[in-house]
Amino acid sequence: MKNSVSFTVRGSFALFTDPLTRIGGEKCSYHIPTYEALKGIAKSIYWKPTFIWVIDKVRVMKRIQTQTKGVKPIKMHGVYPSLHIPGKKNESLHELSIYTYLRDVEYQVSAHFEWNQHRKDLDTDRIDGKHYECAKRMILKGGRQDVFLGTRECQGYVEPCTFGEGPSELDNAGELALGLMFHGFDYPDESGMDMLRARFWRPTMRNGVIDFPRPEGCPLVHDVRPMLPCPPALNQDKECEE
Amino acid sequence: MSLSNKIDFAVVFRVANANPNGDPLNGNRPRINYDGKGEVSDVCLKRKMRDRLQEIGHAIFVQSDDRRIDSFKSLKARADSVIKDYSKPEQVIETACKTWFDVRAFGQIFSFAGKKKDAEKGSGVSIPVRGPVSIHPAFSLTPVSVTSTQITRSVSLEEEVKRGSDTMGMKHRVDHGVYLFYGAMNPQLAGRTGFSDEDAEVIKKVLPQLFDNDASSARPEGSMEVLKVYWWKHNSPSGQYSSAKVHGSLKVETLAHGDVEYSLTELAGLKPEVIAGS
Repeated sequence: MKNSVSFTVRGSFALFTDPLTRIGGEKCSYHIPTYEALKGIAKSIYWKPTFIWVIDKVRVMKRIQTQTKGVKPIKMHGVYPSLHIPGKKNESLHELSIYTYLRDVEYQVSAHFEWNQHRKDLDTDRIDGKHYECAKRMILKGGRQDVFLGTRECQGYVEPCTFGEGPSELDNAGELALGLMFHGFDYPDESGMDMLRARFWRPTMRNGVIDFPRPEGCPLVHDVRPMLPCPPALNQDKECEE
Repeated sequence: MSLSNKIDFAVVFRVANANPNGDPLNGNRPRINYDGKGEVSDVCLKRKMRDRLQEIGHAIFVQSDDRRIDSFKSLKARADSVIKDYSKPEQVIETACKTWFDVRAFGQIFSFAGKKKDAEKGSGVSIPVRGPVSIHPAFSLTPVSVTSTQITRSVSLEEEVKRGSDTMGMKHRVDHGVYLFYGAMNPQLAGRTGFSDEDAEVIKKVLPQLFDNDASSARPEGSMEVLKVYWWKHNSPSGQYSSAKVHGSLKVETLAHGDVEYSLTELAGLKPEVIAGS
């Protein structure tokens, strides 16, 4: 079955947030894209619930640079005139944070899709070639939805490519271990378990190329919370423990 | 009926002796990238768009507090005025998109902590809406020079026996820069938020007037000017060309004496509408 595609994605900024840095509201990017962010880009290009995107590898085409930006996000709760906490009246509507972005990025991505075995109701849609042609056409058109690099403010562009073609600034960069890193989420509709789980792994970049393990091949998995798959039609006979 | 064609757009504007977008963590100096080019953040541009939309009578969820036209002092209060029950995300999204123009255009995250006593049960909500209108930050075509001026205040702030000493402050401005930003509208996402062809026309109407009624001491009247808006309307929902091709077909250059030169690479079957700034 033909199911492998490759594409280039580039942008002036990227923010693949390291969850460790999010706790205080400030965000700092990993030096390389996460599996989940690349999967999101593949889904922005073309996706149907019939199949699951699997990211095989990514090739970093430009040297890795960061830049910080000062941001002023609005607080959702704003200012409350509160009798119990008079101090609340003086709170600012905004908070200030420094976000650390990657600058001027370009990646070649190689990915393939597999039928989602947990969606038996869609097996009539498992048509050889159809989704492959759609995905290829949508890569030509730059994606069915807008493409962004990690966060929505980092808009990017997608174009077709042959993986490994052309020179990269990291061709002779050797080996670089990147430590423990977020890989992606296990969502119930793709994992078949009624649990949202976060996966972690320890990537090593060789001459700019990172080979991703498959989701089930990640060394560290952490349960986040119980979650039922969507659509609800699939779980009529299940009770979610709140 | 939601948006029926993919749309790409580009906006070119000129800054003359103004601070287009200050960096709050850098003494409010104009934003500058490490390559010396000026930047105006995407959220700053969306703020202007929301303000213009609000002026022509559209309901806006994220209102600037000094332009507020209702009594809600926080986003939560404004959301609660329309949405009574957050337990059904689909209905929350539908109501929010129907009610507020900016939610159906740019999207919004409704994330509110639950009540204190329910906090253990995880009663907080986080309902994301992904909007169809995406906007890149604006960057200047060439590096910009920033002038910082020392200013003084020669009057006491409060009644004192004798006048206090002058207080010093700083103002910063970009001397001159031509900035360019791109955006796109996506029919597939528009279907989810109900963003319509008419809504797209409204945005097309406000883009050339982006800086009307936006004057301030940092941006005096006339210092910010939209030069041109390019508007590519594709003939299909998924578009004739990728946004990369469309945005890349426009080349803008500043000439030595301050004029701006535009050149378009021909894309067969897709011609932009060119609107002069007003």
